Amino acid sequence: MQYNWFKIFNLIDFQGLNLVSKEYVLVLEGLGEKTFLVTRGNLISITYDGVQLSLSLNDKNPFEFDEHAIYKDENDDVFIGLPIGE
Amino acid sequence: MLGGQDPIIIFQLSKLADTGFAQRLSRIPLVSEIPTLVEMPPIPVYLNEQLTGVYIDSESKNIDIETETETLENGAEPEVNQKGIGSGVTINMFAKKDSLGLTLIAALLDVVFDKVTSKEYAITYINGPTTIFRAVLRSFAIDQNAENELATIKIELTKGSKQPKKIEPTVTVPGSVGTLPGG
Repeated sequence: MQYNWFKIFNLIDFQGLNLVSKEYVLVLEGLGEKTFLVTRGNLISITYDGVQLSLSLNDKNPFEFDEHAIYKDENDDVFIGLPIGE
Repeated sequence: MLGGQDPIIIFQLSKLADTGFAQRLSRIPLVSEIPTLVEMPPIPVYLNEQLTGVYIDSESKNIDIETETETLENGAEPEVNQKGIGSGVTINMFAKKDSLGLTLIAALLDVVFDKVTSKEYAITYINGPTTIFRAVLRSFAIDQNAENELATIKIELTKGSKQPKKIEPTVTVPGSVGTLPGG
């Protein structure tokens, strides 16, 4: 499935903060200002617009759920995939 | 003191930045939101008898430290454990009942009272060696009686206000369409 991908944060940088959660407020090209909550539990997750996406859940990368997706690349950059045309 | 003349008390109010996500966060128990404060212009009040009708009767600065000394069974030098209780300043002032300074201080401290839990304020008092920067209000009292033209004011300030944090600039992120990022 195709998504509109945006880089939200770098996994190594986030883990270096030693926080349980952090809010990222970003202006997404073509979509405006959006807020993402990144949390650290058993898995690193992004919560956006009522959808929680966990990185590598069930060993899937990208992990897709409810027309959204989360993906980590080889540089440990974490991307969120949003529905095209949102 | 400004120019070495009068004592001055400065009220520094700030505002917690409103994030659009704040309401949604309250439903998620994992959240630890880092607060960001926006500083408003500081409000100085000069404590001068002619200018604002207030003068300092007495002031004191105290540092209190809780100290526990534990002697050891082997007779070695005792262990001393210390914990800070507070570092504060007490100011006793007189003011005429209709003075500008008294009115200003009372009104501003009423505003400060609403902000004590949100920590959106700091008070700085400067008078030579009795100086405290960005303190929090510990107590405030005004006493007046019918027989006396003067009101007595007592203010206690304690060190401990948090430094407000600057709001981080918003980053613009380009997007890419595809099965994976980058096409």
